[in-house]
Amino acid sequence: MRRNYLANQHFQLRFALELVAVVVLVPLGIWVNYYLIGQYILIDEGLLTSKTSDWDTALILLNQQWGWIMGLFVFSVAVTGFCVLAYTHRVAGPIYRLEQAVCRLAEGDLGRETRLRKHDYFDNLATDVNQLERHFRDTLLKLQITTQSIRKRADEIDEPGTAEAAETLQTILDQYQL
Amino acid sequence: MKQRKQILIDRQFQLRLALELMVVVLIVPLVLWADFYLLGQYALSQNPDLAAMRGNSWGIIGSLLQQQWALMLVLYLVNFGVVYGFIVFYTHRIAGPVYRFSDTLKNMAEGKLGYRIRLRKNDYFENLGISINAMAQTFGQTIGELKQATATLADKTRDLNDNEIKQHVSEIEAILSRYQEEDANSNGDSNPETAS
Repeated sequence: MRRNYLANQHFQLRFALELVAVVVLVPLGIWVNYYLIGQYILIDEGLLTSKTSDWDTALILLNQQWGWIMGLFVFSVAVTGFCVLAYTHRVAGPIYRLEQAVCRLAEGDLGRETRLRKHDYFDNLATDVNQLERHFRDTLLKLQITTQSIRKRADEIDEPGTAEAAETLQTILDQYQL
Repeated sequence: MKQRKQILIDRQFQLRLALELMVVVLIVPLVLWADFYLLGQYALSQNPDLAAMRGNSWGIIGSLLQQQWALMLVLYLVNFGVVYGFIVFYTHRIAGPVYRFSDTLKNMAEGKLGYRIRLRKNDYFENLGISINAMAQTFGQTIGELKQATATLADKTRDLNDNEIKQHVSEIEAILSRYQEEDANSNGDSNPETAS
């Protein structure tokens, strides 16, 4: 069981901080919208007087400018939604690339480094995939060199049984592009 | 490196994450407004003259801020502390699987190819887990075949009077002995739904 809720401290704290920034900015944006509409109605319509209560002010504002308020609210939410969606790209993008890299390795295509974008998350996973790829590739290269030496020696001393067994090893190794 | 121009790479994941984050973004200001409203009501009940301050240079909100700034600041900080804590907890569903992937990949690099990833029901990135499991299976299968072929080779060379070949076979055996391809699945949370 994973009981530690900070499984990846660096990622989680950074991600949370960036999201809190969005959480702080969105209401600010919406308040600014309302403020600007309020200013507009005060200047252009002259509907509000000093005798009007706060609640009446809000009702007049809503009654007169409901279209604008609704439009700006929908626009704010849409812009925020798009920003959040674009933000998730920094999470989904590297995962997509890593998935491709892992599938490529599973198909035996070794020797290509996986690189992520500068601001992508999970660069540690890319490092792990590259390290695994490098280790496995080194192993297969060593095996290939040693197998070739065995085949060469078996041919020299005329040992067809050994050469055949080495050939089997070589066939397995040939499944991989090193 | 191929550029990613498409914003919706993993449509289902991104739309789900964006929706869940939007809920947080929309609920937090509501909670803040509710806080201010309750605080205003409290301040009014404590100081009925506050309503009369509408005409002064500070206005009601200004007077409220003047009188209750400490409580407002505490409420504001508590709210954001709670939101921050919630997001950290929420990101565990992302960071958790990533931690497990990293752990499994490190184990595989050390030669332990028998590990398989099992994710929790609501964890993200199930597909990457399945791909890593498929890779572990392929690598494990290859190592198994190589060990079998090496055993055959060792049998054929046992009676051979050639030290060079015997040394090479020993080298191969030593290289392959680093790898354990049998099931070593002791690191996972049990969730057969996502186990490959």
